[in-house]
Amino acid sequence: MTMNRTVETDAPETFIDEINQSRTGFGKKIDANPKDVEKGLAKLVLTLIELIRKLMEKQAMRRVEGGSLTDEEIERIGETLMKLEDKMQELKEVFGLEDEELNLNLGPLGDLM
Amino acid sequence: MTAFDSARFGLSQHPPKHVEQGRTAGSSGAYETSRGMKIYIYGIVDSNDGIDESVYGLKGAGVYNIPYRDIGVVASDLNGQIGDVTQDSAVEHERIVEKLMINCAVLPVKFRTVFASREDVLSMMENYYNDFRANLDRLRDKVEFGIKIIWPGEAIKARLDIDYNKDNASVNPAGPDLDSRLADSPAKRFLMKAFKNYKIDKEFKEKADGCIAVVDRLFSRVAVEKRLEKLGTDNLLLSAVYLVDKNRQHDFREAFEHTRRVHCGLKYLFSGPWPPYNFVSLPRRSQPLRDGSWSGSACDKAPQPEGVPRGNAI
Repeated sequence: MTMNRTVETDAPETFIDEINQSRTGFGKKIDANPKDVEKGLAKLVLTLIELIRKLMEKQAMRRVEGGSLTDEEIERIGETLMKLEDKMQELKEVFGLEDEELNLNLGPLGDLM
Repeated sequence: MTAFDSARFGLSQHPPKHVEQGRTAGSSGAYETSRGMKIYIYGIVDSNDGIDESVYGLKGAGVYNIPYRDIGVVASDLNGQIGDVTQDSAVEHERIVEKLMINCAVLPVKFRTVFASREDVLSMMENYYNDFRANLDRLRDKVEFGIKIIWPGEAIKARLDIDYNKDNASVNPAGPDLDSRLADSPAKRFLMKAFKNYKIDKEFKEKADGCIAVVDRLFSRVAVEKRLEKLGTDNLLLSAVYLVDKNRQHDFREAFEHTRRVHCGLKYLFSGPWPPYNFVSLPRRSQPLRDGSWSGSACDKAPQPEGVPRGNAI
């Protein structure tokens, strides 16, 4: 005897696609095997940098939205964020990392980003 | 009918002879599995009675109860490595948990949870006994339902993008002259693009929150607890699990049918009832790992075939 279970959907293929997509990067661990230790460490470091970069960007957007920035400040913040993004792109290419790899699963806290 | 299916918790009064009744973590001369044998566990139950030997679990091994005080761990011996237990065995694991649920309160344990020895199991029970007891009381006669909802997220985002470009002033509270202030250098253009994405993303999330609130209200009337995860992707609006009293399963089903009728522009995936995998709540404490084959908390979320939220409740 088992539970009288129902699994039903009007769009099975769509759900499969979306669920798979939502799991991209989930559960991946730092790859720190001896042969690929540089990439594993780079992934960890770049993930943390990316987190900080995104926090900085969000803070900047809030300040732009609030209208409290001068033209000079807008120029300076824009340049900083642009250079940060360029540098991140460069480092990702060097270590062969994709955007979706720069994430960590924090168990009950969910994903880092 | 096996003794497992019989009336009293499906658990016999007399344990199989290989199960030592009433042993505690502190007792000497602990039960040892044979060399290389590990202990695979299915769930924590609110009974310390033994199980009939005719119940078979993973790899055909006999299922038994390891008692600790007034509760127990339902387990079977595992000869080999946890790596040998493939995803195909998830159905077997689930079958055992469901059998236990017929007459017991059960805390389902994550698929592929293995302990090196009976001593380790009892040590875990000693550490977590109060938490297990509280969870068993809370989850008695409860089941879990899963709801996933897809909305036309990409189309909504595209619409927001058009609206932003068409009528920046109405979307952008910073005023219509912001663009001209931002657009006269590469750095400013970069910031303008980031700001546009920020605004669209913000409005998109507000729309999602509004839609989720409408749908969730209907389910929450029936459920006793819930875990919601929004926007797994732009289109996957909601992945939710609801804890429902066994005797209100029909009401929950009705709530789903009603939601589907009223909000017909959405796509739904409904599943259940499941054992309450997502509602076992334990503090995270480190556990000794003797063979490296077990990780995570002692009793954790197990995978559901249709996928479950990973925290981030909203």
